[in-house]
Amino acid sequence: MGKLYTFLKYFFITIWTVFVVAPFLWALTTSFKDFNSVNGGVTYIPGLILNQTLKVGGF
Amino acid sequence: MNFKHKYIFLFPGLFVLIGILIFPIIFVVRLSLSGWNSYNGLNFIGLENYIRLFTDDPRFWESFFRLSFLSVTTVVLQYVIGFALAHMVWKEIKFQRFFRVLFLIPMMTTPVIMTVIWRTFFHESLGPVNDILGNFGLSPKWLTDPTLAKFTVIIVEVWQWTPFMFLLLLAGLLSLPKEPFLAAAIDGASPVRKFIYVTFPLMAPISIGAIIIRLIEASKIMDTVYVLTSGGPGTSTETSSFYIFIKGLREFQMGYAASMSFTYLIIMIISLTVIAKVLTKLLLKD
Repeated sequence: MGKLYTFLKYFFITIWTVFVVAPFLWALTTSFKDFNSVNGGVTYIPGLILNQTLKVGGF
Repeated sequence: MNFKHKYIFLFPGLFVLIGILIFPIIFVVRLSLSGWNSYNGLNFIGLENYIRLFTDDPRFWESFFRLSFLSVTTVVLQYVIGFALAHMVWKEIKFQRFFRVLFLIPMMTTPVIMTVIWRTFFHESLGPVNDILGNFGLSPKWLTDPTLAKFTVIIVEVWQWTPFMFLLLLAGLLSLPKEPFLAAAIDGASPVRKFIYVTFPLMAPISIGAIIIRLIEASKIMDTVYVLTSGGPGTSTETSSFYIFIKGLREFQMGYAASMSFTYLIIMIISLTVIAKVLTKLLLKD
């Protein structure tokens, strides 16, 4: 009971932390992008287009 | 000491109260009895606006029921999540102070700006949510599907205002007396029983206050809807306040918008009083 509760507690806190922080991180990375990077597709780190490598062959 | 002049000192406060609270309400009532638009003045037309509202405007009532659904859903979610989070960081955990501050941050931000960020977050082709879900073959239309758009509004509202619930409930938990918990521990109560029979009943008055405050605030959802979906697609996320805004400040039907505002105010006062009484009866049995 104790261990399960502790696991669930930290799991829920982690999920909520990600949910709280996500829009701020998105805003932060967007603040480093130029106009074309913002409107040309999804990039997570300015200058590094991750989604293109993830979607190779996914036509 | 019979100091009759003391009433003079009440005048500044009374004057401010009349100016900022009573006068606008009286003016709205007078405005609602007029056909004031951008062409004619404050002409008296009797109950015409109210008759139109109750017999010939289903859009207002649809927006009202939509608002009721959105506000009740968001407040219930905020309460459950806020209580869970408060309960988790109430007792000693790692990085307790860090989490207590982190969970409050969304509440400190400007709703309009954060909603703009959420709009780009849920953007169908430029947002990260659909980009990640796209790897699993999913591309939900967060802002253009009528059902999902409501869900998106709920997500943003829950993100923004759960910290408020968390703050009130954490303050309540921290102010609880220790004796009932010691008595429960001596009796060998399990953590679940402690929560059901000690923590929850002791938190009931604070819970009622927090729920009522949030219901009052949630019943005025306007900025989130305006920025995120503008009431769309169609009218699927249009709330009463947004519809009143459209009628009053886009179509300049000031008289009709005033009649809707006043009706909305009366409904909200009655429904919130009933909700407060029901919650008090349910949660405060003794």
